[in-house]
Amino acid sequence: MLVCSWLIATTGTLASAGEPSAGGLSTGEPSAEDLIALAPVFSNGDPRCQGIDVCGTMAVADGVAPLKFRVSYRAPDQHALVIRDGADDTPLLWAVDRKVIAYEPIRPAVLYSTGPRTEFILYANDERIWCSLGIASSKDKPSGMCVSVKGLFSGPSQGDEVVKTGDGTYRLTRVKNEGLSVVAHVDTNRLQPYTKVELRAGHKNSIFLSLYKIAVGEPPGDEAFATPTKEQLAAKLTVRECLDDEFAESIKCIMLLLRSL
Amino acid sequence: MRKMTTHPGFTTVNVDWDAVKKSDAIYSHVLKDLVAAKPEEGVPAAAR
Repeated sequence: MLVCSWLIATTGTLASAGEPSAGGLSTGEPSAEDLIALAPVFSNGDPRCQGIDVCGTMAVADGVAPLKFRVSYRAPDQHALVIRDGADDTPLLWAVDRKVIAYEPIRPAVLYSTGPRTEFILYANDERIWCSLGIASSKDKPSGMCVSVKGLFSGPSQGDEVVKTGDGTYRLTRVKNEGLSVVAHVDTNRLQPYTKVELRAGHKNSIFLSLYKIAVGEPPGDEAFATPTKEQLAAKLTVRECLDDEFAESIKCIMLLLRSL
Repeated sequence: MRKMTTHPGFTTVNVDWDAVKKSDAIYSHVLKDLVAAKPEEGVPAAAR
């Protein structure tokens, strides 16, 4: 059960391929290509990476508060995912090292399982952007995280814009076709310079995915992997324990999202 | 539970929405208490 999974076509006829521009930049300021070259690409499969911590929001439908999420990894094999209602911060899904807690508001109950794996994938090629976030059965493969911010800039472009926002900081916008754009805030003073990345779409140019914390390298602290015990939950709430497969079957994506409507 | 009862996709579902709203207030409070910090701030040690 992936909380959110989508694939966006970015191919199509372009009205104009456009030329990258760095309007208003003085000599010595980075071009769009210079900033794109700094975009991070990271995965828990990289043995050099000791930790990843990503916070963001994801819109699931028009008129619905976006979901907030935090995805954490600490070498060699610790994974955590927390998803909250974007309107009032109520935890909806909480997965740490295969222990998964999900709030089902209709039953109501807290579902508890010790099997599923977590997954966060975001990458793109010239034709598509893939994103999946959530949990799935653990039988086939382990938890994983693979993000390519650089890949979001791949493919045909209708133009780039670089705006200097401060001392060594820039806002980079790439307008892709079909109304999709990528907006990145870059601080060249930082080791990992991308401080915020947004995917925007539609005639309202609304944000459907935002990563507002992208920390790569340093392992997240213990707090990222802390969870309440089943006993702590059961002391105050109805807890329903599920097997791995049963968990995926018993709670549907919509039940998590429903509360945000 | 702001707009749940009026969302067109759920008006035909046989659910006691008033009961859901009441239980949601309790669950929301307890779950937030267990994860007292926001996601970017992590989960407090007391909730482990």
